[in-house]
Amino acid sequence: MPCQTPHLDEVTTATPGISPGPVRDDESLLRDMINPDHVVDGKVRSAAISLRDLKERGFSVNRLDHVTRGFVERTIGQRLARPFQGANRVSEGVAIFAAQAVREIRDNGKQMFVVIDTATESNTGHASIYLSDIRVNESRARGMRSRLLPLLENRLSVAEAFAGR
Amino acid sequence: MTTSAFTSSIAPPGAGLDSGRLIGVSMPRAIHTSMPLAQSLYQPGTRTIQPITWEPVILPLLERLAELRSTPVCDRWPDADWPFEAAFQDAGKFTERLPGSMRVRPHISLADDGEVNFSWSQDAIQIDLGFYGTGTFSFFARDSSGNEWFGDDIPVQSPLPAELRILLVR
Repeated sequence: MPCQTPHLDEVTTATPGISPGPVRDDESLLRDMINPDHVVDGKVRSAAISLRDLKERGFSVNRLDHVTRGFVERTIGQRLARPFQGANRVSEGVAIFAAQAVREIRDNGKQMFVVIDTATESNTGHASIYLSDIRVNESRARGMRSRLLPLLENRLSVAEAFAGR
Repeated sequence: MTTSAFTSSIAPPGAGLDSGRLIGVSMPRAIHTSMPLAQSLYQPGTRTIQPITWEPVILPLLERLAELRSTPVCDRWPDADWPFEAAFQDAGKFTERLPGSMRVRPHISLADDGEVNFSWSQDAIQIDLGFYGTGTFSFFARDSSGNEWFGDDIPVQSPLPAELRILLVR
């Protein structure tokens, strides 16, 4: 797959005409979490966020204000449809965190991550998290990943995440 | 690697399995009969015999690698990059170099970009280390005082970096 330089500008949308606009700081972001792919023994594992996602593809999240409960449930259902090591995958709910929490992760004052609107026709609430500097070497990217992982520890059921909507 | 005489006198458990490597990892002969998954990955090669204290710590990790490696294609994520065979081999070679006196065992998992990942997260020690099949690994480590270490392009055949060894056994 050719390596394309991702669009990292947080104030412009990657998909004009489809997108609901750039991701605001106060927006809640969701990420479905599966055991054992992302969570084992109640703890989020490093491999839950791939380095390639952070540098090239974007770590996919859904914007709570712009995604439906049905869409999230279908996504989780598709993941659970496949067994893993002979055992069933189990939903660990959705990690929920504010876009601002991602943007506030800093190293020596420098913002480590950006949250980019990457709406698609099938999911206008899609957004992506990237390293703000995608040229960092692998070990530095691991260190940055370790700062992002704790945000995935705050999890709710899908019903709880969409309560009142 | 320490050599122990105790295993060298044990007869091989199966025809043609007198010595060899498990996905790049040297295995003591005595282990073959108790590790069917590991046996399935057996490849003729160099014999290295490990001290008995090494086995209970390292063998479960080798079994975990073998288990992940043998995941049926139909059970893998459809959109994920499956690790190269070399990534499993590199992870095995690295595992062979882990100290038997290691206090905390790593959790081994696969990221969807083809990484075989080892993570230690306990007692305020955090290590994130991984393989992509390049013959090298990279790592990030943080201790309970917030000290951080970074390593890139470290050959899997080289000795375990001193800072990692200290974190793992202290």
